[in-house]
Amino acid sequence: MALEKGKIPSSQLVMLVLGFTVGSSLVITPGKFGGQDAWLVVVLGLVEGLLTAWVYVSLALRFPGRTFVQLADEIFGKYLGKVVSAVFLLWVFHLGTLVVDDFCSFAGLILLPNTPQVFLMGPFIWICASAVRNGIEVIGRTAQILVPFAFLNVVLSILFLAKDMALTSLQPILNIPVKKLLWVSHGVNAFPFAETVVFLMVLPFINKVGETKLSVAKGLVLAGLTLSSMAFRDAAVLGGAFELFSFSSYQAIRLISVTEVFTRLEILVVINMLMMGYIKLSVLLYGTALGVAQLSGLRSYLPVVLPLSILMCIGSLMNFCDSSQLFHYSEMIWPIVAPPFQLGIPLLALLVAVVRRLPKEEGQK
Amino acid sequence: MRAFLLVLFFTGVTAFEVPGLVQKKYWRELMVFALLMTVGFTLGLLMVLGVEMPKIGEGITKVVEAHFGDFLNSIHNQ
Repeated sequence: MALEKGKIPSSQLVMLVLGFTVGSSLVITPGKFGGQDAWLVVVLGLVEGLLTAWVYVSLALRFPGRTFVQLADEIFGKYLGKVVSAVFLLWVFHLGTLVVDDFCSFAGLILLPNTPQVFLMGPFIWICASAVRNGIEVIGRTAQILVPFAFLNVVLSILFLAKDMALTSLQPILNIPVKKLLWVSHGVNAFPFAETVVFLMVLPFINKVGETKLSVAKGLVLAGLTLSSMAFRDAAVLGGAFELFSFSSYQAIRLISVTEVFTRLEILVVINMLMMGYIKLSVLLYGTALGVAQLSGLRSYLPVVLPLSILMCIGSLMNFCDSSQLFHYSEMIWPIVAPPFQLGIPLLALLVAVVRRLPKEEGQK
Repeated sequence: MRAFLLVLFFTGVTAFEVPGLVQKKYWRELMVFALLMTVGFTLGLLMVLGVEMPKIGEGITKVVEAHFGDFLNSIHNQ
């Protein structure tokens, strides 16, 4: 019995991938530790991200109409498949708690420092839970409306800051040791590009299966260009201080002053953060809820959405003592922790499927 | 007061979800819902009561640093 009856067009998949990838990167700028070369580091990370995407999209296309939980059952067998699915879903859930943490850190440190965290995350995740309960079509449609608006915000901020950009801040190019360059670009792949592996829970619901590969690639490339231009903007405006700020985009946009009329436009970052955060968290919550429902053999995923939202909030409170630990985790720990789930599990599943010549035709079973 | 609000919140969510499940005779769904809510309520109550909870992210950080500490330091010092 299908738990999700909705279908999304490929244009919405592009917007979902773009919104998901840009998501929390609006708060914590990826590649920041590449200094003035951050924009280049993002492009290198995108290349690695596209290779990772090729693996999980190939896996999804081999088993059309099946989510990761369903295809893992077929590839690894009934019992081992459930273990692999559970491990994957735990990772998706953990990623969800980190995203909640990202947004609450930003809101708690910059916007509403005296407000208890639970009151910041509560309404935010409640809206995401509402979208997830309404199905993938609603998340897709909202992405189609919100993502172009966020994209416009980024373009406007670059135009407004053009006069404050000092291109000398970006020179000399590639003034970074190779080892560090590779590490930081791998970090950009792990957060955010390869996180799109969660779409293994969404790809079965695209209406034109043949356009899946192109749609995911388009979404990732657009996200890469957006993030690269944001890193370029921040580094050119903030100069050497770029690396020092926890929220560099916010600091850069604070400097906008066009004829002293357009000032204090940091609200643009906050609006973008809320819109893209909603998309990222909704996709993660959707993936977790659908996966848990399929794993437990439920007839509907709706009953697990609210409990999982609550657990995500609690999980985010149980992650770190303070935001500095979260930033350290994103920069140094995540690039080591994430790849086994982002590339390892899908690649293993794909290899086993190829070796076992799965999926089998009806007559071969 | 905080514990009371927590109980109120969980009661609200249960009242919202459970009648529909009972009406449709979704017993398996009800069991999974109850299990997840019990875990959530227990963790929430422990937090509200001020019990020191293990930090998952911190734990992962410690494990990774124990195994990859030298490598991470070599990158950080560049």
